[in-house]
Amino acid sequence: MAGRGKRKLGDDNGFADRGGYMAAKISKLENQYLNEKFNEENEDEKLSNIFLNVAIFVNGYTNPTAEELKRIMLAHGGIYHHYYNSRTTTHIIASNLCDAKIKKLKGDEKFVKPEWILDSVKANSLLDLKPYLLYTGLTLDKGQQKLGIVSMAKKEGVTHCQNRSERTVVTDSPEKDTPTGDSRQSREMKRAGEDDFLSEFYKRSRLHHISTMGALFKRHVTELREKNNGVFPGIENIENWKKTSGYQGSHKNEETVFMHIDMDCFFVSVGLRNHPSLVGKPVVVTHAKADSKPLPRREGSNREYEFECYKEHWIKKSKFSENKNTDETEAGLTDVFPRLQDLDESCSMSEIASCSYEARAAGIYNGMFMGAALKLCPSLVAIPYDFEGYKEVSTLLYNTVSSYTLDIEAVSCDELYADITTVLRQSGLSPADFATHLKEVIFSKTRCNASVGMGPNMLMARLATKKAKPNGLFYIQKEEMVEFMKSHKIEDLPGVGRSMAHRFHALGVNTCLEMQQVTLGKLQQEFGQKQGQTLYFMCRGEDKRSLKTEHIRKSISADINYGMRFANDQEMHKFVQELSSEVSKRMEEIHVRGRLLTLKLKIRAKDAPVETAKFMGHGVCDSISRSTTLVTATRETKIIEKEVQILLKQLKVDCRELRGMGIQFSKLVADNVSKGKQPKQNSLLSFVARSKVVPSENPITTVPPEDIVKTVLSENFITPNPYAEEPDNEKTESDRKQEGGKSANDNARFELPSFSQIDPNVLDQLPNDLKADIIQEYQKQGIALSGVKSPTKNSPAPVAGPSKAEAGNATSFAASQIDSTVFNELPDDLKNDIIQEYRRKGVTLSVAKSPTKNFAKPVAGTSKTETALGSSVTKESVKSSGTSLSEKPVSYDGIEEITDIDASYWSALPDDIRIEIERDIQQRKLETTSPIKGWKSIFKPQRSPVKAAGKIVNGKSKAETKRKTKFQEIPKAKVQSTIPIPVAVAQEKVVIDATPLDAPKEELTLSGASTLPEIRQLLLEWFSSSDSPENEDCEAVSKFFASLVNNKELHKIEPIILFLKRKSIGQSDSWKHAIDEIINTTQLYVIQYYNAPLKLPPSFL
Amino acid sequence: MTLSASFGRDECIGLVVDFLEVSLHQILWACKLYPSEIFRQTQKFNALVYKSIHPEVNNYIDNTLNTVRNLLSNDFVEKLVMVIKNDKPVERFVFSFHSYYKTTPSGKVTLNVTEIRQQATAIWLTMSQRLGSETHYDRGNCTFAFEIHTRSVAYNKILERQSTEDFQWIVAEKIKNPSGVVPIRKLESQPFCIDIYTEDYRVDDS
Repeated sequence: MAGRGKRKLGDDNGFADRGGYMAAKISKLENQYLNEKFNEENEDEKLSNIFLNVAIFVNGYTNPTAEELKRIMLAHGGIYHHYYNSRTTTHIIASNLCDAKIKKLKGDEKFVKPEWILDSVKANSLLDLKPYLLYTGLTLDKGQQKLGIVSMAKKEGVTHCQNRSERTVVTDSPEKDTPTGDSRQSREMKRAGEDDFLSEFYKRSRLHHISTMGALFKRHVTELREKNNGVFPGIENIENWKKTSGYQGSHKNEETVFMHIDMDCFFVSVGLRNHPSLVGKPVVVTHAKADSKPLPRREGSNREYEFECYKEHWIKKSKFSENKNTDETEAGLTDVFPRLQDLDESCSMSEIASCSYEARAAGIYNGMFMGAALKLCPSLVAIPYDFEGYKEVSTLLYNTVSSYTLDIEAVSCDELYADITTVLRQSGLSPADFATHLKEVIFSKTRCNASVGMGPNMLMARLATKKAKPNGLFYIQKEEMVEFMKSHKIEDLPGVGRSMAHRFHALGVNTCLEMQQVTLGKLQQEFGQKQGQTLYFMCRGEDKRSLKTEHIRKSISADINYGMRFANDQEMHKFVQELSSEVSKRMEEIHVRGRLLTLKLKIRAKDAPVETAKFMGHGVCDSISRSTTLVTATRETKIIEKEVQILLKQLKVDCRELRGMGIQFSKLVADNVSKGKQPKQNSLLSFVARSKVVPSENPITTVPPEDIVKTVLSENFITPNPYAEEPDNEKTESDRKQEGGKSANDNARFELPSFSQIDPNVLDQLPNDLKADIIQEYQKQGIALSGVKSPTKNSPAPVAGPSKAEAGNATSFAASQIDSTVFNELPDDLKNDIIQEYRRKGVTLSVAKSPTKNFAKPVAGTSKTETALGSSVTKESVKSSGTSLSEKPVSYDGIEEITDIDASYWSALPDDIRIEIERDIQQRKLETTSPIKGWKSIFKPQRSPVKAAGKIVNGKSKAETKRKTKFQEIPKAKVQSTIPIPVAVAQEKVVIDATPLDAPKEELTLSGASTLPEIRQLLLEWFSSSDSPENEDCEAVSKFFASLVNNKELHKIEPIILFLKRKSIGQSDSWKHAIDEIINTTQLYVIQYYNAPLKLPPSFL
Repeated sequence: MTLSASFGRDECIGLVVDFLEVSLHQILWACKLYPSEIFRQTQKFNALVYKSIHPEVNNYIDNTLNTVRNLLSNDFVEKLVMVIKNDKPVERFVFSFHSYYKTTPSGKVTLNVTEIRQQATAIWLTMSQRLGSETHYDRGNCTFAFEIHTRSVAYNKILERQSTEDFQWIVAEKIKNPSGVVPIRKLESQPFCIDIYTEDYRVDDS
């Protein structure tokens, strides 16, 4: 073994041995070589790098000699191997191959004649191997025959695929080392859930690159339009060009001309810029290499079976959509799955992204699998992606076109529409002349060919491009339009894909001419209203579309359907995290937030094999999707992640079966609308707060405490909230909507609307002390009150105030009605009373009276978020702001004072409003006020207002303090305080009864009594309290029943009613009457909810 | 002692369906639509209940409940109604679902199992007690049927499934307003809120 090492330029089996000694020797030789290289570099400059990544091994006698070749390799950046290594050696240089050597070949070595090296040096670039190949696999079985050597002279002429099977891979992409190494690398593609999967994925994914590039240029055009100052440098170019080429600018163009520019096989063209030697050869761009080596079969993958699965799924689907017979379905199958044919186990499943026209001539098309393509055209050359190149060329293309006109609609990185009417008018060129010019410019800049189509509309331009390809131009004039359309197949129409074409074939329609015969109605019936109409016009060449220059994104998403193989939930969660941040990043890029989150999953179909035919592909899948609407538009990674996790949980996905996942956001909201108001971070707390808000659908209507303090009536009573609070509330609400109710800061000072919101007129009408208070409050916050003094004219302002506020509030119902009706309905003496009280007590009473407006306010609905969050914040602000605070309970207590007016007021209210109020209140989370209190309100309705007022003024009585505390704990309870006095009483009663719906633990109570015995006891006391029942108490009992009905506690009503009825026997008529009234009211409620009255024992009626 | 446990969405729905199943059997038994021989005593939630052993009856009920289960998991059911008919409906037992699951971040809800059991037992007791005591009409000639009140989205879903299942639902005719409502009870324990009552179509002669 050691002895064989002496043969330096070893023979064919030199690579057979790899002992420890040999390894050492090889590395020593390699080092020697590198040293030599180093020395040589010192002596004479390294000439070039043309052999970068090429490692040769010289086999046998060559001319020039091995030593000479070694020197050349040194000088030109290549590597010379003394021993053949199947892994690292890329080329074997030999002049001759004997039969014996051929037989020992493994099949993937490349034997190249030494002339290749010499000629490459001469050309100073790496030449195509093909003409220099010494041996092609095809000749193997025939032994040493005439070798398929193509003479150098013919080299440039080879355009058509020849039946030879040598394959070359152009391995110049820097990120890939040797071709063999590359194939190994792709095997090691990361799995989803592993670190950096996503970034790695997006680095490689071609679809991602293409799609992001399309979006990029759409934005690019928009930006260009914004920047443009009306000067188009291109016009100047045209003038120059006209001079040099002798064109006359005398063409009179009257009609609109659309232009459609499409680069010819874009990816290939760009790729060929770096491989000039490949021009004219069948070239494709794909991930895989062109060396159809049989791939090791992966465990569990079965292609044929999987294709069967695909087919079955497709057949099932097509059967589902329309009832066809099987033959047709079978026929359709080949339509839909042409590429599934002639595939076997060994084929590469890498898809071809783009292929040159030479390759197309051999029957290769985009999207074909590499394996199948190689069968059709064995001499196919695959070149890798060159994303930087694509970007560069696209940018050049767009900049070129935009120097002539900015009426551009970007379609993708290599395709765009332009309205060239103006350019033509300005330059006086005919469309064809202009196109020629433009093509020349584009080619000179990008070295890529573009095809240009022009027509009177976008469709025509597009179809013309088809005709123009490759590298041509075509102009369809309006007169030729109909004639032109006739020759087209329906597949040529944009938007008609395989499946739609198949449906047309089923109808016997194959060409546009045939389609023109189909009536509009039939098309609409077949394809839907809108699409049918589009098709109808399209086949006649009519197209009403105009350029979409402004690009608006409707949705944004990130989907990954490749490499999804999760081993456990952790990996999946990690992946969700990554994907969420990807979506979030994308939203950030275009400055939007989304509200509707859709989770799209691909789950392995039950009958599909676990391992897919395409390496790491998704295989046959069931697609499912779930959406959730977020309360606020967001792009916070954490929230997205959380929502997705919830959705995943709901869908009960087995992570191992997951083959694809996508997060999509729609209902996008642009950022700039509320810039600066967005919180930077979403804390966990805020998330919790947000989710707390979600469950209730009814906006809870509360008014922050300071409103109450400040809410004052102006003289004419119809004055709205002098603070014009609503707009601010509403604003805050909408803000909250966006930020998910997160900003604690906002909350802290939320009570005070920004000063600009305050109607100066209203403010002026306020009593002086209050005005001072308000101003002070603002000044505290550093806001100067300008314009407060502005003289008030007659009073349209107060009137305008409420209506404005109400208009702004979608949720308000009949608020304006209430304003006037409330006060009109009040007895005059009461009005006077109130006014007098008001004058006497100033602040205090004014508060008590503010309700008119306030009544509208809860209705108008401050956002619930405020309250939910407010609780903690308010507490703080309450504690800190001493003076204003002491007044707070005032308004709260104020309600109780004037109980005597409630009944009349209540009955004066329109029915619907009454019902609304009741319901509203019951559904709110109103904490029951202390039962004792409620009790009192029933049995001691008459209270001295003076006494109460005293309390209020000093503001420190125990009761109030207690209230205050309670108040802070449950800010929602505030609602009552802002309701007009009369209503407030009515509501207070309800408060007694009502408990929140979603707190089942809290029983509904009648004045604190919740259990049947308690209620009985209570009612007994009631009976014994007087000879005739108070209206108000009856109301309370009715309300209690109503709330029971609302709460579906029907079974509790029955015994109480029976009890009441029983007890009413022997009571005075007024009692009997009252009880009947209560029962009737209750029955009405029951009917309202259950469509029928409560069934009571017949003896009863 | 209260027993609480965490339940996932499907488990919650399972619990509801269990409850419905027992309730339906219980109603059948209490209404005496079938001879009492086809019922066997059994236990559920530690309560004595009756269950039919007639395969066809059971099959019918099971099919119904399967549909209900499917729809519940899609949030589509508003009411499940068991109609006792004598040509015209006589009584309708309504299970009105106000809520039966709450979305939580963890996907689990904590149920107070004891409370649910107690309430369920009370409901069954009420059913058998009240129905058993009523002998107003001859139930021997009556038949029963189920109605599912869904949201409109569900309608297509059901139709879609029709083809794959051999259990067919048809669109109900317009439902007449009953002459009276008789409450049974409400099953209410977080997150469940199921209202159960009967709608009576009999006109009182007395």
